[in-house]
Amino acid sequence: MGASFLQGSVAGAMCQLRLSGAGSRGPALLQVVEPVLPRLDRQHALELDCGDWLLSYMDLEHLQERLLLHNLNPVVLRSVEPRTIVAGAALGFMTQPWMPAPPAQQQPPEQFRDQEEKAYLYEGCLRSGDVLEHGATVVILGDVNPGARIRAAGDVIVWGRLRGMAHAGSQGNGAARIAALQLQPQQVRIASTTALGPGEHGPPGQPEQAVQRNGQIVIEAAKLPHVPMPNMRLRTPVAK
Amino acid sequence: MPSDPGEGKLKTTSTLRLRIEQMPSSDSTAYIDALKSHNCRSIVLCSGKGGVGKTTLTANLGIALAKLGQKTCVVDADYGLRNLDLLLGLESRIVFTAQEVISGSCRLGQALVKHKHETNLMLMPAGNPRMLDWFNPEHMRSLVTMLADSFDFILIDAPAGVEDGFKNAVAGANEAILVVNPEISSVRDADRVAGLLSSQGTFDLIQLVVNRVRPRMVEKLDMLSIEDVLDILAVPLLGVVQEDEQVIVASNLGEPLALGKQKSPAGVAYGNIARRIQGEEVPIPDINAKPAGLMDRLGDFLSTRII
Repeated sequence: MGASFLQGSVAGAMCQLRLSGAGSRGPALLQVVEPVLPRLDRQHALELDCGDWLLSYMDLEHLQERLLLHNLNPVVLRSVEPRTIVAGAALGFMTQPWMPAPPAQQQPPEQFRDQEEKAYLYEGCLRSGDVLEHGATVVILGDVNPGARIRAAGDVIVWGRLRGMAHAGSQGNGAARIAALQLQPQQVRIASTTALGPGEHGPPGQPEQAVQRNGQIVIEAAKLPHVPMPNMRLRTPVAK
Repeated sequence: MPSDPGEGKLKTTSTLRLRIEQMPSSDSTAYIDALKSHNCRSIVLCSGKGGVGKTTLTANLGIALAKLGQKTCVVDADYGLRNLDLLLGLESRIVFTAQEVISGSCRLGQALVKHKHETNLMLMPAGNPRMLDWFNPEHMRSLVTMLADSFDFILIDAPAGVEDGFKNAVAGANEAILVVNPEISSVRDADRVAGLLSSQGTFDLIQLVVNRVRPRMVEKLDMLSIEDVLDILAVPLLGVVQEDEQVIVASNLGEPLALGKQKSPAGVAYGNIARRIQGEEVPIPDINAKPAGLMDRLGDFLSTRII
């Protein structure tokens, strides 16, 4: 819980009074704001960023009085909390709903943290109508029959035949791949790119993978990408 | 963007959702043990798709097993559209049905209909379609338990679909025969049914009968071959039945081909399947087409499109 002050730029951007601290309520407001007040810049218009503070009409009115005493007139009010926005609008602020930070910057909840790294191993055949969804890489030891669907946030790796539908990188990871001993999917998706299956058999005995290249899904011979290859010395045939 | 309606809803990064269809199987293990103690094999014939020949196969396998001296009961579990009695030619002899047996208003023996020619074969007829409303898997189990005492084989004719009627039919069995036609929709549905059956965990044996195969179409690559079907389903093959016009004639007469009144390839195939069910080693013949006769070749020529 606290308040911070961001200096406005010369180009005319507003200076900003930003409140932080999740779930804070009105009564603590003045205590938090008071220490920063002397530092506020009087040359620019002031923007109030209330974060997710829940502030009532009364709270905002008190704050406005305080700021006016320091010759400051807040013009814009931003908040994630709808009730704060309503209160601000009632006081005549220009209000803007404030978008929370993109989820990529947020830590996943505690219970998911180690699960996120883990691949899920499924042993058995996925038959028509079966659906498998996972938040990381999925490895299947068995066939995926036509009509079955797999969706994984990481890679989809099938030790068998893939003849159903597979979606790798379902959370937007375009670097995810779909690999199978026999890759004959009905449809493949990587992140938000969709492609129809190849419709023909690959070379026999050659595992294949589908990856995204330049916004298109291509099928190529499967590689082991995440494993650093040891410095292998190729054996040279002994001369007779 | 993919046009999947569920796409946008998946939000957490770390959930595992595995939706392999599961069917409730509460006290089924105890039930299966009881069946085995009676030395009775209860086999459900199912396909998912309709019209592939479940009921015809049930009737014929019933006859064929009875001819081999096995005490056999065929149970019509297709309460909505019952046909088994018709195919066996026993419609007029039905007095009581499974409905009365379950409700306790008649004895088991009163409802069972003995076949006209094969005395080893009995039919447990389906009640009226209103049975759909109240009949549940528990009823099916108690019905089969009553029958298990006096029969070697119980063949349950499941309805099409994978809804309640199917679940009821499946609840009474510890073995299954998947009936499939060599066409893509039938194979797909059978695959789904196979998944449902194996997820239930109460089946000792799931086998496959490929029905209505036309060797000449397979040869011309116009029809899936047996290998294609097995390639997808990966279920042990119990038998192959060729498409046979005689089946339709026999159905209309109410005298299944397995009775052996007419000579027909399908009738022979039914007999072989029954012997394999018994445990005999009967090789599955290669269903290659016979060399085409003059008329066939003429027909082929006429049906060839010349562009």
